[in-house]
Amino acid sequence: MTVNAVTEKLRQTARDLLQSGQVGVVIGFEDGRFPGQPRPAFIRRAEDADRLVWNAFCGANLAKYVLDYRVGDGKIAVVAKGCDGAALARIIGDQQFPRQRLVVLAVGCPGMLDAGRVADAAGLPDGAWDAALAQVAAAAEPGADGFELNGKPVSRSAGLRPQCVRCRQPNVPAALEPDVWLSEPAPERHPSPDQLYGDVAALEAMSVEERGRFWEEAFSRCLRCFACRNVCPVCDCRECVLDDAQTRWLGKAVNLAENQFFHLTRAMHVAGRCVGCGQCEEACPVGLPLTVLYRKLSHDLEELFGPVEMPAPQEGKAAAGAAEGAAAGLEKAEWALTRFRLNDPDEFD
Amino acid sequence: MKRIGVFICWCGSNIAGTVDVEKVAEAARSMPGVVYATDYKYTCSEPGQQMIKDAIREQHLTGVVIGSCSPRMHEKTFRKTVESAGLNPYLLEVANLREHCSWVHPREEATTRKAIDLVRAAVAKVARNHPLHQGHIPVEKRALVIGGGIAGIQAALDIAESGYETVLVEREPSIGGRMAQLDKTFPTLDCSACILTPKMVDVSRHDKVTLLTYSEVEKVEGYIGNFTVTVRRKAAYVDHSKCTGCGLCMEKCPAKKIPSEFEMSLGRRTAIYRPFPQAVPNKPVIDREHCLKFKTGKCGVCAHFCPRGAIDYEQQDQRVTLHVGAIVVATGYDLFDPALYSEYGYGRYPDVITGLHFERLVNSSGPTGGHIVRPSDHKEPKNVVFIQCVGSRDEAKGVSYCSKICCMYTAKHAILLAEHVPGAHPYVFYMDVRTAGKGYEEFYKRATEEFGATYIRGRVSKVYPRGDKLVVRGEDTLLGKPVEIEADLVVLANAVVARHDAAEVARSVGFSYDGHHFFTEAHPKLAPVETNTAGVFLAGVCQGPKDIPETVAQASAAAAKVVALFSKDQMATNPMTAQVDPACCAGCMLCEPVCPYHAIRPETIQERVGGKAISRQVASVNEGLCQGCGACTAACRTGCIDLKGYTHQQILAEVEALCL
Repeated sequence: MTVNAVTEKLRQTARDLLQSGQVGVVIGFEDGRFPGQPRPAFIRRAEDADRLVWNAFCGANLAKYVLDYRVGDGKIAVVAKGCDGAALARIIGDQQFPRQRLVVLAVGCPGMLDAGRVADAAGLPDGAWDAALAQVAAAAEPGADGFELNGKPVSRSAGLRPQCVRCRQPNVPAALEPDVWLSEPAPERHPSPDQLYGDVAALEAMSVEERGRFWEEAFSRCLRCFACRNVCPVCDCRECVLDDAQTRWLGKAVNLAENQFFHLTRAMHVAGRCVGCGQCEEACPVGLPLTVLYRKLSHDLEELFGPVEMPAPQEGKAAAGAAEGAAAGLEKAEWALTRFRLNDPDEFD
Repeated sequence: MKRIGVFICWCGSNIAGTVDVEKVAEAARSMPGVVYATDYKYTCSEPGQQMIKDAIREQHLTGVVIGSCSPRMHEKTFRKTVESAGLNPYLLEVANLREHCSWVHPREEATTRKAIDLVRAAVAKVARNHPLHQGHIPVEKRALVIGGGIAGIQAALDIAESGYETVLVEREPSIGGRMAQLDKTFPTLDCSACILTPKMVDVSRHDKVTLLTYSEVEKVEGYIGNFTVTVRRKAAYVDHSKCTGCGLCMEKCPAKKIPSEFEMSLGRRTAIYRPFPQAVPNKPVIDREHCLKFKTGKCGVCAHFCPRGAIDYEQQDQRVTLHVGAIVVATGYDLFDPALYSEYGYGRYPDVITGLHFERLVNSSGPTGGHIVRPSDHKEPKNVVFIQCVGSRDEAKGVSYCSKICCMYTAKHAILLAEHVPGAHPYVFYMDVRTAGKGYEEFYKRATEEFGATYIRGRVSKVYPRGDKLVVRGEDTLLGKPVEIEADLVVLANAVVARHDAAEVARSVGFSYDGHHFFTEAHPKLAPVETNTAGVFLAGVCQGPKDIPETVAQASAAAAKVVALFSKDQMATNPMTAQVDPACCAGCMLCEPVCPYHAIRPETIQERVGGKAISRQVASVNEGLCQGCGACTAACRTGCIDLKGYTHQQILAEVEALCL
């Protein structure tokens, strides 16, 4: 079986990093049980490096896994698309993982496919996905514009995950100063305002009562499985306030009031920090439109405070020194809502 | 088992007139934990307080709720009361039944219901109160005064006179500030230098005062009672321990044409210079930018002539670290650039000057020896137009506030002009004449009645030259007529503005400033010299425009605050400070930048995780700096910072008691 160039470089890099002992683990993707759904892989031995794959379905955000390595001092390597990189920058900015312990393997991301959407676009009959998707995963170069499936041409955009349609960060933030590029950086993406915030605008257009009903309906379905929080890469606290039994901010009962409190608290905790990777919605077993809520806040924050300004990388540094520079920069970055200024807008009349 | 006592105050008829106080007490008896509830006409009175003390002892109360006026009013009173009965003073909660209830609602059933709810919330909270104890921090009994103008000099003298060491830091080569530049002072017309220079000498000779001129405060760390201050002593290139101030160097210096800052560029100075003859210390510094030795490497005349060998071209800036317990900030002001009003022609026509230029022109030790002359041709002016409110009270182009001193100094200038130049005629264009102050109105009256100043109410629209005169066009709004005056000299009363670097100073010392960059007092009425950072006080115009009497009064007030602080060996700290739970703190340090008091710093703790000892970063609160504002508790996503006395549990209990 042929492997694509990125996969090849990834395997080689992982092998080198592990063999030389530079890193203790490489976090990437490997083929999972279902084609079209590669799973996170934690490669600790050089001889396992060939398990790593990179294909058009590697959408999951890997950044959160670095938090499992908080205790310790060895380095770990992470494969990072734009959204993984943004989340890593956030985690470093929150001082939850030192940049110095990371080896960032950057990949330019053209947007990742969703198995279900691809199947729909190709008109695959239920139960006949696996072979077809395996074919896509194997054949479609991650950057290819389209592919043929079920005898039909399928455009890449038809199969994209919704969060990839509105993606504005196909590459890791420059401030992260990646150690290795596994591919060329992806071209910039400029989603239309409608793609970005169309659904947010639709909600904004509703009357207060309508919108209230919309969210009540949504939150009343929440099972409080906490999957959205657990998968969220910017939920990087050591102990979640919602688990605090002492103060008992959040009651145990699953009812609308507590569910609302849970979701609104979470929304405020990711406000200005959400990287838009969409993991929460993907993980939600009852399909809550969580990113709409978070994007409403991101949108408001952008309008009030401007876009998050990542510190510029310092030029002309050897790769070895890059990590230190990036770490210092990211920790100093002025994320929205994290600075006290006397002249902050105060428009709550 | 909680044993809570509830005391509902009538506050005469203030509460009882609107709220059924007996019903509130009755309702309180059935609240969880309450073992005793009563109402009383004046709880803050002696018998009222005795009643509380008796109840605490007899009922063995573990918590007290008083439903009365705002806690701002009497919380301290009642804390003392419960403390004298043997209960920790922080096991008290005040339910505000007056400002929050009886005063703002009509007399009806719902008002009493609200009062009951407020009491229920306080009961729920007090059940979760913990005893809190004041800490004590030692006080370094040495003060730092920043700025050596009249405010700084007065504050330093008052503190030193009380027996405490004081360091006075001034960034110019001499103390004296703006007042040293003035000629006479209103409304008594005594000579500014005559009343200021003795104070300058006093402060420089005082054995408790250390004078650091030509120095700037670079960094302030620490907190009330315990500040560490870094001062940069700029290189003067003159060893002041050797220099006798004979002035030979200044006589011989070949670079003589440098515009003097002190003389508002109306006079010249040398490269080695002291700002003015009465400078304190009366020793020169070398202005490196204009010194030929530094510019070309050749010269060295001053070193050649100095009889003491005091000139040292190799001198470097030095950094001095000071430990002080209190800081008085008296950094003064700048003046608004009148060139922004192009219609007045300042900067284009040499005979359009500012009030401070006029002060130098009329001053007998000034560049003209006290002869009022036009800068352009040194002729004596006859018609002089004074334009008021240049920048002041003009939101569009200037500043919104009134600069406060201009009306009075313009009246003074009119008088001085009439006195100095026989036959001269002062004209004053004004918006309003503001003369609030002792003897001020009378002074203004003298200017108009005795010295014949013509006051014209209206704005000037244009100043332009005609021959060697300046035509001032304006409108007399009282007559509704245009006016045109051929003036020999135009004097602009430009606005008082904050120092250009005021915001930097405020940030480095760590207190707040307003939209105009004037420093913000802790309370405009009740704490006018305090800042919101404990141990830092304000004096003079850095806090807002004011005249000399007010400045001196404020400086003495700031000194009194410092002396009061130094009168104790130890200072009690507010126990209601933020507290981090290090076990759950993630160390994200989000709390650090939101803290207005720089009270939060990262700290490394040792921990065992999964059987391994690790060290990691968590937030830690400096209780000396923390003012208990609670900003950090709101910023902490993990909920790991609690404000003692207002813990999450207490607040939630209150909310639940109110809402559920």
